Amino acid sequence: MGVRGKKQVLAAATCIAALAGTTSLAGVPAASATSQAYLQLANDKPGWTSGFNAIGKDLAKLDGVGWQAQPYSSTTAFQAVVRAAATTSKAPPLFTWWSGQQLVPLVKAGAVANMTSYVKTWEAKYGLNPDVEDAYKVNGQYYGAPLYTSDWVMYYNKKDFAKYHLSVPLTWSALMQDAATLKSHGIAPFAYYVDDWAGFIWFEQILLEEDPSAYQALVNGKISYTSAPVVKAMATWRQIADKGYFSPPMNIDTELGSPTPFVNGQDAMLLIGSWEESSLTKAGMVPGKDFGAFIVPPINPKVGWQAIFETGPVVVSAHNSDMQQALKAVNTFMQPSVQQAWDKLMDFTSAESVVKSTDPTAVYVAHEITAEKVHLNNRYWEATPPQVAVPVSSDLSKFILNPNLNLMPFLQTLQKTAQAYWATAK
Amino acid sequence: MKTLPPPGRAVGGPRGAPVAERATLSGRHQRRRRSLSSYLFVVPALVLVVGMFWYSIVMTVWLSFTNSNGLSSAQFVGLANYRAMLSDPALLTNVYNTLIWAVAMIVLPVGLGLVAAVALKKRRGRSVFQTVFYLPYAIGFVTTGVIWSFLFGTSGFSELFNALGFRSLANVQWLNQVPLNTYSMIVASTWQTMGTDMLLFFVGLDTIDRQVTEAASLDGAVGWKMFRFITWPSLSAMTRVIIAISIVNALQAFNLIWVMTQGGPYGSSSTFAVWTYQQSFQYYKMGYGAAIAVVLTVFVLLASIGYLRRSLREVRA
Repeated sequence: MGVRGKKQVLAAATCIAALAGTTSLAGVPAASATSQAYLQLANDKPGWTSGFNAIGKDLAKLDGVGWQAQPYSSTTAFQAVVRAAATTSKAPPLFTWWSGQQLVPLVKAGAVANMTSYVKTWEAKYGLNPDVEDAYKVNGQYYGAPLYTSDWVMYYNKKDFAKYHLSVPLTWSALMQDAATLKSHGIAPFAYYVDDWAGFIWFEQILLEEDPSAYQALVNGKISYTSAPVVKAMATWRQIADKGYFSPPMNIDTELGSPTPFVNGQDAMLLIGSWEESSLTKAGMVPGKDFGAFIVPPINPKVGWQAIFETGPVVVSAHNSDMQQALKAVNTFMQPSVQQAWDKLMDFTSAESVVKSTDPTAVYVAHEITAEKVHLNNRYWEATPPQVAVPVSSDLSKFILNPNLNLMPFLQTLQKTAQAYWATAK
Repeated sequence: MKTLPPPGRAVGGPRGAPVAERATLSGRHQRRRRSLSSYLFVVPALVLVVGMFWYSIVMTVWLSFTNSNGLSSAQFVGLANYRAMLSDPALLTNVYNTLIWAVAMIVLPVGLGLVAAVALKKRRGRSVFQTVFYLPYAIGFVTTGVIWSFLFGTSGFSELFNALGFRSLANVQWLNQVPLNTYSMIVASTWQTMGTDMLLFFVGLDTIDRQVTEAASLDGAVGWKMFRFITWPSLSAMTRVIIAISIVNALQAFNLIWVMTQGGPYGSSSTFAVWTYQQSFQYYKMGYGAAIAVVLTVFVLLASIGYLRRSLREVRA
């Protein structure tokens, strides 16, 4: 081989080797992510990164093990990546997830660590709400620690209420009376959203307030979408719509982040999770002054006060070599001092009773939950499997846009969707 | 005087192999060396294409024959996913919406791009118009979707129509009413992509021989006649390319739809690409989503190959 030829081959081989080297280097995680001090916390909440990292440093200072956020901007991409890696050693040591039926597949695949012993301690020492922790229970064992808990409340525009001399309703009929008064003055009593996941918001609330045991049975596939309690709930929902108490439906994905009609007082009330409060404060509203919140009173007083909550956990991978360190970090995270700092950073409300919120709306809601002995129920989105929750919520948009559609065939379509899942799941 | 033998004939010499033969061997060896080094330079690109493209296609096809949920191990189910697709009530909606997008994105951005290019060709300030019309494409699909979602929402056109006194228009649910939601997104997509087509038509118009147009105008061809008999035929090659690209892009319409409606409400604005995404990543039915993706790919290939073959036949004729 001549000199020139050798040089050409060597150049080509060098290029290939360099690229291969680059590729393999890209596969090596950054040192800080798997060091002893900080573990990766994979999540789909890029807006929480600074909060995660601040708390992660606090955890490291307290007990030597902290976390560092590894955000994904797309929830769908995050779920796909985590699910693909979940049962391998490449799974992130810590990651955020969803509760209820969304957690079940991970538990069944053996992807997440059992936290039962820790949970019992948190309940006993810190007053962790057992209703909330039940959202992470699968077959009697616990697999997550609450990263955040949001109650689903009715936010109300205080200026509208003051202008028309309305007070926080303590009964369903009082709520409907308030709605009638607002409607008579040209104000839409309830802000209404449609599309994507919005379909379940009023569906779950009304069914829960009429028959909480039917709600639980429905989300667990024990009763049909054509059963009497569901038909009754849909009829109640239709009545509210027929009375014109809902605003024109707004696209939830594009308009909930800037709830202008509620901020302006065109819509007086907004049924949503308490995480929406950050959008209201960003829009310039002051909690306690411009808006307040209350738990929706029961439609059927015999069932007692009920409320929807949602909670998202931080879970520990059962396959990552840093599992024990990750459990240690989570245990530290649940300490009241850390919970207090986290809640202050993020405007959250802790699920631990020893941790008190300073947000006036959260304080009132917490007081109401205690005073009325409100039973908390996991949100429909997590309580029922995503193979049912996603298509049914989407289909419920049909009802939102046309509440006078033919009800039974519509409910039969929902049942067909649910049946297709439960038949294979059993 | 000894003369050199003609090439190829052995001469014989003290080093064994004949000189001419040694020269041929040496040339072949050099060519082989050059080929080897060429192949080595191509290997990285080959690895990328095979690894990222063909591997993905083969894996997707394989997945389409399984009940994969992306978490637990998948089982082979044969054609079950394809059979399920045929009986899925969402199939017709997705086929219909995909075809609407394909037809609309051929007619609207291509048609408007052509009209704008012809109208602006000889205008002063053409470069300003080029920039203005091309700018929406530069901002990307997601940003376009966010902007138009706002415009179609309660704080956008509704506020404007209210202020102008058009109450009935102000109450229109642009993204919630069926089929208005799909048409509204097509408007947004046309706004974004028309500029690119216009630029391509400018390129095509600039290649038309001036002598031809001058001769035609001397013969009395102006306006519509000029366009019909000179400009349009001269643009046929460019038009074919633009339409072929538009077909492929339109059949895979996803980004804008996902940002604006996520295929809703209740799947009414979903296309094949949105459908495969939802089934795979929202419903965790990766096998089923893969089957939809395979069908979409076949559909796109058939449409684009069919169109190009027909176009080439016309060109040859």
